[in-house]
Amino acid sequence: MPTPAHRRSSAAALALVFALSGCTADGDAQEHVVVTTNILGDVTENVLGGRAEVTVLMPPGADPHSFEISAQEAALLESASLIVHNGLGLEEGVGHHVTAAEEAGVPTLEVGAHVDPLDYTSDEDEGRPDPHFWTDPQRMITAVDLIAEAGAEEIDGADNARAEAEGYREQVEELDTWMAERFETLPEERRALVTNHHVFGYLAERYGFEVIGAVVPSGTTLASPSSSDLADLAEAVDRAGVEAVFVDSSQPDRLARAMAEEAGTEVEVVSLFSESLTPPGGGAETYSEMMRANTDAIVDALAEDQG
Amino acid sequence: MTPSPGHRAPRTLASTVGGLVLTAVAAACGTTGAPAEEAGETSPESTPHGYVEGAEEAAEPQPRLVLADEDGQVQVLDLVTEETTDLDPLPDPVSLTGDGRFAHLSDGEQTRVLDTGAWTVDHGDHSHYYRAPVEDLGEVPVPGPTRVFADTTRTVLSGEGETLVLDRSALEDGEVETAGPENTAPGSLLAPFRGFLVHVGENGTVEVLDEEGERAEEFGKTCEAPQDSATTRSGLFLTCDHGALEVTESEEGFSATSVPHPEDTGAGERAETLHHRPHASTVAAPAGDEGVWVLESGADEWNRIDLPDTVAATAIGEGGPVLALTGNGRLHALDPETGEERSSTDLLGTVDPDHPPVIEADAGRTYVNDAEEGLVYEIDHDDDLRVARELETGPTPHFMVRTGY
Repeated sequence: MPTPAHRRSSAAALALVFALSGCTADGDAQEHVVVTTNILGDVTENVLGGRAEVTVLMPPGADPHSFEISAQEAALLESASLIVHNGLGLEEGVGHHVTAAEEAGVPTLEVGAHVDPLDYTSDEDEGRPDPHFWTDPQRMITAVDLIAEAGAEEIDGADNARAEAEGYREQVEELDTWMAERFETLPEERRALVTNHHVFGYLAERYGFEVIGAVVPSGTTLASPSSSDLADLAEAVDRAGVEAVFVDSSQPDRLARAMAEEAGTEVEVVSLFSESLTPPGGGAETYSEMMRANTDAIVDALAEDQG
Repeated sequence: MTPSPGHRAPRTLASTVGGLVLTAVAAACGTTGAPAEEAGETSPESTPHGYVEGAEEAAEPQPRLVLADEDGQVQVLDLVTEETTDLDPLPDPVSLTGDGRFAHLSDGEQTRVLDTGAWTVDHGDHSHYYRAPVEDLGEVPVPGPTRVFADTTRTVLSGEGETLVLDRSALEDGEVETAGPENTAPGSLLAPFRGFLVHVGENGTVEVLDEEGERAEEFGKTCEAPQDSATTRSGLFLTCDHGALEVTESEEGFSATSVPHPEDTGAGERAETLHHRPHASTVAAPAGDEGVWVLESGADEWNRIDLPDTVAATAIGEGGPVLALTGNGRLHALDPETGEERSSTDLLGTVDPDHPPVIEADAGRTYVNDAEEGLVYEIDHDDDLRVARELETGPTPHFMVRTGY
């Protein structure tokens, strides 16, 4: 299993120091904030990490929909000073623990519900709020403010959290400006994401992209594909008028070859980070790193003139 | 092409470490409470529920086939990598079934449970796909031939005079544990459905039992001599003497709809065993050897397609064809509504009546076993039944089941 960052061990050491001093002083428990997803965990660490122990439940590289927690971690939720969660149905394996803690009187912040969520527009989920707000940094700036406000309210000694978050807030603002500038280098007609990811709706809205959903042929189909297997993806590429598709495939090269041979369509198959930060060295260790990596990948792929 | 910068390492179902930090703090403070007491027990306790050692998430479905010959040689074939895993033989098998992840190989006395290490978690708007090593979980005392009915919480193995309800999450942890009624009367049927159990009594009464085995719902409709069950995206079908019963769940609770056979249906032509692409909302059942019954979820009558000498059939659903194999080895793709033949192809040289082939379908491909040639055909059912791959198998494929869904 991936070893969490050195940040974790230093945090642990720090926590111990705090705890010991706390014990000798008046026996007060250390203030702690528990965060469900690792994306919000990184943001919360940046906003409140100086004032509270921040524990992130979702491991790097995990899946926010399906990760589950141990009995110990559930107990942690119950004793938290504040719980920060994405909500809008994202953390399916943990949602009932958050609800239980909330019912037990633990303050909770459902970030997704307060960032003006978009509704899904696809047929199956039409009308349901889309929980993947983090692909829009402007909404993440709102999230920074929300987390700072909640911290100021619920954590002893964090009255100035809003002011202390200013540095990180500026970082996210810079990220947003940088992304906007990068995407502006793409002509409008090339701002099309042919993808099987369901998380880029917010990014598309913020930066003027069109998301074109596509069925991606799976491993067994690619073993011996015919043009009909690739028709849906080829049609999406045609419609988009671009030469790159942003899909998860275990065999990206094979998919590209099959598209060329069977559908007569030259495409680059690019994978993006979607719902989780990675372990150190994985390319998306922080929220900012994840967003920058995706932006570069998208711009590089769509800017390429493949003739 | 440029290397993609976003290449992601395989996502591992890893245990979390985050929780341990605070546990240590609490212990240091001497605070009472569960976290401190459990702190000394270390890693096993901090392993989240659902953790599977070695399991990893994949970008796409991970279908596998379990194949067995009549002597009991057993093999798992990974349809993505074409890698094979041999398992200990189980002499003289009589049936092989599956429930999406686990396969069940039975002889006349017992049933071996195999974790095929490939499964899908359905989240409605999207799915997650996992792969893990193949594991032999041992035998349970259910004599074959067996049928299997399952949902995400329980697997019911129903053999000759013996029915066993197994705890699905225990199976996922490699443990075989029962989770439900120990004794069910001969002639009755138990089928898991959305965390509940649909129970058809020997007298044909149909009820829904909750997790504790208490009755949550009883229907006025009956299902005499229940034969089979199939779960669709919308509900649960049961085959009965009179036809089918569809059980559905809504905000108001459970309800049941009866779909009788046409009145002139002969005893030998009734729908007994149901087959479909997993979760599809259309099911198919051989009408004896006279043709195929087709039933759509929510429909109030069966559709009958005449096709003499039908040996096996299944439904792709959602506009896809009904597939049927006839005794001459020919595979037919039929329109589910009109019965019109969309295409057909000579697939098998002979059909062994002792080990009739099965048709196992997923969204894009269908698999048919050919025991005589020692092959499995991978069929593109949307492209004139083109044979996409001929897969050579280790054991002669007398028995076959697909997993990974």
